[in-house]
Amino acid sequence: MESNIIDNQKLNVNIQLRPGSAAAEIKLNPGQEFTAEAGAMIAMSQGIQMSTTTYKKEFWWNYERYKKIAFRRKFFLNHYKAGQQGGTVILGATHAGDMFVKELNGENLIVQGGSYVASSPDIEINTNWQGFKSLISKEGLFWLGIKGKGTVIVNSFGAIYPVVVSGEYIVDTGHIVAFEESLNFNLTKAGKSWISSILGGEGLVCKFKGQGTVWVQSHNTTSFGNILGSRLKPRR
Amino acid sequence: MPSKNAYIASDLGVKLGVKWAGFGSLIGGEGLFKLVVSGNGKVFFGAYGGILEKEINGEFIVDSGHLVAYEPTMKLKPQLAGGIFSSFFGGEGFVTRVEGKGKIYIQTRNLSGLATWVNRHI
Repeated sequence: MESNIIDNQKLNVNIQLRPGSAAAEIKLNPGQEFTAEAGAMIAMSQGIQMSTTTYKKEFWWNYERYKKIAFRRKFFLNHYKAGQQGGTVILGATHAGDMFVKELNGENLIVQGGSYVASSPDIEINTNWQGFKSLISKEGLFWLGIKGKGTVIVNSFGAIYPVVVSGEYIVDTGHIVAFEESLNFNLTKAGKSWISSILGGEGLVCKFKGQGTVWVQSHNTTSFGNILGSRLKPRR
Repeated sequence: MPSKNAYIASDLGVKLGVKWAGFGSLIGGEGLFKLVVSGNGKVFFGAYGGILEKEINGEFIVDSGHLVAYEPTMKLKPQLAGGIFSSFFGGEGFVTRVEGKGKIYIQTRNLSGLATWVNRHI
């Protein structure tokens, strides 16, 4: 019996077609469940039930110090449950890139909202993680606080590489896929002055201190979106 | 049967034809006609992202935008991904139920997913 419980905390994941077109193939035992990002499912075997939950995400944008605007965005997660025969679910991502699987054992992981793919049922997902308040509105990024025991699957835009921080390390916020909350982090400007940081195109960076791992992606979705979006012509 | 945009090239021994795909295919966004390749020789076909080959015996569910090619003996039926709420808010919309025995090819990325994402940045 006990082995069954342990089995259900972990997901049997096989990442295929790495690194450019990674897809996660998850093999489920009978009755096993997991949670995934809305829209991530590519294919699945018959007899798997899907349901959706809505999370209201609120975040605050401070401007002129005392005025605040609350943004409400809905965030959807799909839950999959295998039937009597078990089954397979294949999950993909929007952008070309890689994926990685992380087994959590109670520690906290912060994942960029767009990088989350799936997790086993005992993993808690906090959609209102507010560690980087000022960053959220500016770069259009949001972050998920993830903790518990089990498996988490994360995807990246481009290649993904872990950096084991010991001391200090600086990463452009748009390139952060995930990091361990055991690290101290604070947002700062990239250069010496705010003017050079903004004109230099680096914008905000995150300075990590202490011990822990940061997963970094080679491409930046926000920059890609801004470059591509501004070049598209309106239809007449 | 590769989907319309997937076909790239084939040997001379391969015949290309068009087959009525049925209205079910229209709902899945694949159009009313299907390309059929048959005969002897190699066929090249491509997709957006990577291609996974899957051996099916029975039923398998594929997100409609991810099905690249399948064997002509197989039957496709469009259906909702889950309940009405899940299908529209859960982001999966329509899925295709593939029935039969044989190989299917699915792509790991989806152009309409990219287009939706790009639209948010205009």
